[in-house]
Formats: sequence, structure tokens, C-alpha cells
Amino acid sequence: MLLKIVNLDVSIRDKILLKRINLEVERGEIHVIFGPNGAGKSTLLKTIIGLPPYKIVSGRILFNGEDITNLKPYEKALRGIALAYQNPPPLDVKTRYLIKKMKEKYGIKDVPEIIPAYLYDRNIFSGFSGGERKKTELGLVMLQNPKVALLDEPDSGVDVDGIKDVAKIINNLREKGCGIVLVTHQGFITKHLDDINKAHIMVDGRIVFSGDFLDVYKMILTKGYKEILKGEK
Amino acid sequence: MMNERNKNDKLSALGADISGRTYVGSYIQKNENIVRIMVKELLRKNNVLLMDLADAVDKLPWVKDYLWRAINPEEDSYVSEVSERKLHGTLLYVPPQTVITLPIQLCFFISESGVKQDVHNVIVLDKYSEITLNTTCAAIAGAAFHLGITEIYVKSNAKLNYVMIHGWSPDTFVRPRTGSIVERGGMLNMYYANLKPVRDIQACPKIILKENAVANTISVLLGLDESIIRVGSKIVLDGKGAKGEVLSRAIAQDESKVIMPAEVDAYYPNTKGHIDCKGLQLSKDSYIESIPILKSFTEGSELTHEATIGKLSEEGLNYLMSKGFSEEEAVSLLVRGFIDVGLKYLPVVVRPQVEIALNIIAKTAKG
Repeated sequence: MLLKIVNLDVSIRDKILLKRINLEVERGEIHVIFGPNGAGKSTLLKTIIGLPPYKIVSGRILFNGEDITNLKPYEKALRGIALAYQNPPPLDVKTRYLIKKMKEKYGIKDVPEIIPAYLYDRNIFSGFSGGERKKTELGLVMLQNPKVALLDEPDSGVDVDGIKDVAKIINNLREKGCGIVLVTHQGFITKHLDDINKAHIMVDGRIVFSGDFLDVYKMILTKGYKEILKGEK
Repeated sequence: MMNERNKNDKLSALGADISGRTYVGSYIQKNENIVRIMVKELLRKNNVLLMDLADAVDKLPWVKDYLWRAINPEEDSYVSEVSERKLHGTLLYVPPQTVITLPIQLCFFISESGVKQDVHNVIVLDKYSEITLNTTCAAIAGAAFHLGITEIYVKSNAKLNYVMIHGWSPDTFVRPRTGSIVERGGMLNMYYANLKPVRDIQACPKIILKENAVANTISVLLGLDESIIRVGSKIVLDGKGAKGEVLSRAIAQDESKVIMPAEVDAYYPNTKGHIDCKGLQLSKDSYIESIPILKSFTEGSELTHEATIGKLSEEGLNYLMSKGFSEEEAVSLLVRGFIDVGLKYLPVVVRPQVEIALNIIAKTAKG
């Protein structure tokens, strides 16, 4: 198993945010996580990569059989886990310079075309449009040549053509054997993805339902999250 | 005791080349003695003069016209002291319409404790000429004092790119005093970076801009240990259409104090001045102060300033760590980005040297 999350409980300042999360992702699989705002989808991805202030209270994260629960974010990244932020922060670092440093770190020669070249001499994410932010962030994920990509709403704020470009990248990553955990709010991007192995519904910090993608998507469209949560209770 | 090779290595790390081979011209002064003046064919055939200032004053009567014009010898006690001492320093004269693309080196270093090094440089760029100067000042000894007078004359439509890299020792007191007069349509780009701990440094070059003249000054200041650094610029817009920009970036860590004075005074209409000072505080015991001053003595000048002081963004550090950078690497990346200013004003030929200096600062800075 590439990525295995076992009974994960996560808190922030003593408040439990994620409860009993279990997730297993194999090589080349795409898992989509649906859920309403505040369900804990982004928290889950940030916890997997190890970002503060999220604290793992119990449970384990295994990567290729290794327990990486308490590793630092950079240690996880160097093992092959990449996170695409939903809203990457603007930095006082030129796009070109960060790309150069990441190429050196990961031994990558070519810069992914998805990063618009006209942004190279600007401070990264500073004043970028929604689409520019998403494309650049996804390009940086590609520079990591990841084994697992955690993608936090890569389709939000992106126009129709942009969504196709983003989907193409995800399909390419999957073809290379990268396991993908894709968080999406609306789910528009899913119709451009070649093959989705599984979908999960997160509500109120828990994965309340997992199953075949089409079944889950239909359930969300017909019932809505409130109804699903009511049924779960 | 540091041997010659170690001394040379230390100077090389700051961009100096004691052999002078990599520059078209070199003036190297150790303590108060000239180590080397090297003038390559390119300068000779273009009649560029690079020589001992005392010698120049003796042999070339016109040189006296440039002494103590850009700086008042009574400006302060340090200037006054140098004005009363024997001349040590260089004359650099570039004839009209002479454009030299490759850089010329000036290097001043202190090799022994207790030395009071005084320097007086006169740089004259005649009409439509252009050069790039790479200046390294360093101390590779204990307690010492550096008094440096630099008078710069950029005549009409000439352009000077002036890079200064300082790497003093923790017990050095440094008092550079620079005065510049940039005539009609001339341009002065002045880039300064301090890389090492210093006891106390005070420098505020004054630049007078005549009609349509332009000046850009960039200071990148790294405060380490107990250094006290007070470095900035003063630009006087003394002609219609003159434009000046003062950019400062200060990083303070340990118990250092970094002060950024910056002033733009406008005396003519259709002038523009801008001050941009940013400070990054990396320790609780450090101190940063920004002192932007804008003065307008006329109607029709446009003067602006912006200043911020802050710490490294936690969110930025976390982001970079999630991309595979250790905390130390993430700090270095953010610091490097913070000081990445003003390079666009410098010619491509000198940028690699400046980037080496900036990389040293980024590696040295600790969050």
C-alpha cells in the first residue's frame, strides 16, 4: 500500500477536527474527497503532509509501509508526498528562483509547461489570478515528481479551459503511477479525469461514506450533504 | 595569524581579486599602502586613468578641481581628519564617450589590528561615458578604523554603475563619506551590501542630481552579532526632471541594530523621488529603524515613500517546508527573496558577483 491512514484523530488547540479517518491509496489510483465547507477536507491533506497547527492525537500515517506520522513536512515531501495548496501564500521569492531551487532539490531538468513563463520574474503567487495560482502550484507539485499528490481544490477559481489543463496534469501524474488524493468542492473537474478509483464523503471531520465514484457523486447530487449526514447519524 | 592565502580567500569571497586578472583595471590598497594598480590594454587605449590620487594631483593640475567639491571637508570630524592627512586613494577618470563594459575593481582592506585606514577616491566620468565599478572593502584583522572619502562626478549623459561589497571584522569602525554630483541626463546606480559583522558603520552617500539626471541607490544590510549599522542615502533633486529612488533592505539578527536613513529633497518641478525601506527582524534582541525623509521646496515634485518592518512569514516557511525544504533552507529562500531588489539597475556583467554576495547573506541569516 502506497499511502495508508489508520484511525487518525486530529486536533487543533484541544478541539478534535478529524475523527477516525481511514484511507488507503494504491499506486496510480485517484481518490476524490467530497464534502461541504468546513468538513475537514483541507485539514486532512495538511495533516498528512504534517503542517502546523494540526496535531495528530492518535492513529498512524504509513507511506510505503513506513510510519511517517511524526515526520516533518520536508521529510515527507522528500519521500514523495506533495501537497498542492488551495491558496498558496504569496512569497517574496521570484517564481524563477523557487523553480530553480526545486529543480536542484528534485533533480528535475524541465520546467512543467503549465507554469506560465511570463510569471517567472514575478514574486511567486503575488498578484496572481486564480488560474495562475493553481497552474503554478500544480507545476511545483510536478517538479517534486511525487509518488502521492494531495491536491486541494485545484479546480476552484479556474476557468473551463484551465480546468481541462489541470485535469490533464492529474491524468499524467496518475499514468506515471502517482497516487492522487483530490479534494474538490464542486466536482466539475472529475468529468475530465480518465479514471477515478474511489470517492469519499467527508462531513463534520469524518469520512462518512466511501465507494465507487459514480455512486458517491450521484448520492451527493440527489441527497445533498445534510441528508447524507442525517442518514449516517 | 592569518596567512596571505587565507587573507586572499577571505577577500575573494567578497568578490575581490587580488591578482586583478579578472578585471580590466584594479586598484588595491592594504592599510595605507597601494598593493597594486593594474591597468589593462582596454583602459590604456581608451585613455582611462586609474592611478594613485596623490600622484595624480602632482602630475595633473586639473585633478585639484575635483578635490573637496562633492564633499565639504568640514562636513564632520571624520571628513575633516582625512582632509588634513596625506592623500591615500585613487583617481579614476573616464574620457568623454568612452564606454567600458567590463568592470573595474577597487579594493581596500585592513590587514592589521590598530590600523586607521584613510582613503580618498575621486571618480570622474566625462560626458557620455559609462563604466562599472566593483568596490570591495574588508578588514581581516582585529580592531581597526576605516575612513573613506569618495567624490563622484558623473558628467552629462554619463553613467556609473557602482557596486560596493563590505565585509568588515567585528571590531572595525567604518565611516565612509560619499558625495556625488550627477550632471544633466547622467545616471548613477549605487549598490551596497554588507555581509559581515562590524562594530559600527555610518554611511549616507549624498547624490546631487541635475536636470533629467537619475540615481538609484540600493542598500542590502545584514546586521549580525552586536553590529551597529546606519546606512542609507540622500538624493537631492536639483534640476528639472531629475529622478531618484532609494531602496533599502535590512536584516537584523542577534543583538544587532540596523538603521536605514533615507532622504529625498526636491528643489525643482517635474522631479520624482521614491523611498522604499523594508526590514526583516530575525531575533527578539535586534533593532531596526527606518527613517524616511521627503522634503519638497517646490511645487510639482512627486515624492513617495513606503516602509515596513516585520518578521519572516510563518505561512511562507510552512509552505516551503511542505515543498521539501528544511527550515534552514526555507529561511534562506525567504531571506534571499527579501533582498532580491535592484539588480535590474546593474549591468549583467556584474550581477553574478552581487548574487554571490546575496547568497552569502541568505545563508548567514538565521530565523
